[in-house]
Amino acid sequence: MLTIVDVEKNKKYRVKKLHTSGVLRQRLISFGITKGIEIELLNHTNLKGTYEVKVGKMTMALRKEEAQNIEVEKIDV
Amino acid sequence: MSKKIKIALVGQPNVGKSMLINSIGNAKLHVGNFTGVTVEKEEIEFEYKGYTINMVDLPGTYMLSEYSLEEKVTNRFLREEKYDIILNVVDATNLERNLQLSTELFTLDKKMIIALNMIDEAKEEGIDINSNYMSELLNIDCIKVSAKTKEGMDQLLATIVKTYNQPRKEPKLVFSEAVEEEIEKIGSYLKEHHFNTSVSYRVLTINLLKEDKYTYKMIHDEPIWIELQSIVQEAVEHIKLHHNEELASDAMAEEFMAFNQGVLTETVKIKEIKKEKIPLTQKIDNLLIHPILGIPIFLFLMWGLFQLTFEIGSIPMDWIDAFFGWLGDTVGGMIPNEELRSLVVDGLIAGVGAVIMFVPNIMILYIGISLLESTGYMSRVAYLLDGLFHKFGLHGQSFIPYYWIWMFNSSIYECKNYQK
Repeated sequence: MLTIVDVEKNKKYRVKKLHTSGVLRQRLISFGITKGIEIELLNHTNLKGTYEVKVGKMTMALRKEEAQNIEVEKIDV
Repeated sequence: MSKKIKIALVGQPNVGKSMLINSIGNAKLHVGNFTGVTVEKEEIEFEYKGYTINMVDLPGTYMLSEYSLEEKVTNRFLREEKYDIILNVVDATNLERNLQLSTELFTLDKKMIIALNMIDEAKEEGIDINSNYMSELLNIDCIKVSAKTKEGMDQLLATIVKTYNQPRKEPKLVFSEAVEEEIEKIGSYLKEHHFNTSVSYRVLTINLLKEDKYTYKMIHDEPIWIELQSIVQEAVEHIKLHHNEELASDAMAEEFMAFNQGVLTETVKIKEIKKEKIPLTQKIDNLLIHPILGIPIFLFLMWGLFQLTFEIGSIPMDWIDAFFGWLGDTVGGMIPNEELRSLVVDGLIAGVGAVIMFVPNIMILYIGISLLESTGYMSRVAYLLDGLFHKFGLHGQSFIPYYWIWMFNSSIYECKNYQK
């Protein structure tokens, strides 16, 4: 399963599925992270503990535990 | 004598709600806490054309969820407290995300106004919003405002009074055919059974479909629920099937998003403005959260602030010290009784002097910290340190209190040294 923690930086991916439930799921949806949305990894910290992603016009930071629950697929260009 | 209008100010974090409140002149500001929790409550009250308008600034929330304490406060306030109008403040430069909350607020069945804030920034970014058309599409007044330039504030206040005096307008929310069909079905069932409710059948149904806990709690106690349950369940199954989703709440979230997207394509035009390849702010940002340089830069800034506090602070400190020394000598010379002189000079003057001496230090420190906070540097640091702090069960933001403790410890230490 390809998730945010394994993707290449500065390439566009599409969200396939959220493997989380409850409030965290709602939280991600409220940031606009849902099925079919384009997402891009901009940066991560040295030890890969925190990930900076871009969704639409917004940039946000995700913890590893959160990021690895977002399944994505590569967008063929 | 004058009529009182109570307004709940709602919006996502960082949309300029507080700034909007501050830009209203002649208002009395009242700061307190929400009952039972340590969440700050800011309220203003002012007179406008014979009305007393009271605005409560609710904590920023991305959705009507209860993820954090702040969101819980907002959610509970909106559902349980008494108020006349929801004033939804949105960031005009980021409507896509902001409208998600707005359309969710539609399901609260309250009078509502949307303030398209930061309209000046939106213009600079080439975002052109047709607010009249948007008002028409949503059936909710959308007013362009800017808390910074005070543009549109008069119109906003006039709209508040107008909205207060007219009956509630039903906001428009249009879903896909499949969902509309189910809403129709449940609605007609409720109508047939003359179900008595304070909200419209449509709103009630939408809330049932998006699995709103409050609505379920309310309707669960009604006898009608026995039959209604199976109808709702069937509807939910249809919608899930239609969207190919496992959760009905996801399917409804998609519906809301699609509606918002539709409204935005109709009303917002973005002119491409020629920009530099990487804007300056992005360049600075990249440097501040650089994987290798980020932490040294952070340490340097903290060290810098520390130095600034004590180095620059020592200049006025010397003046204050000299002033109180002079005051002690002068006053001391006027008091012949030795014990009384000691009380006044060594006790009163020296004591007060020792406290006042640290005012410049604290001032520089406060200004420095609030500068770092308001520029958003603190959230960058939280990003850098979260991984490390999380190992100890803390958040990235936790360094701020530690920094405070460290600074104050140092100043207490300095203070003691000074006394010697």
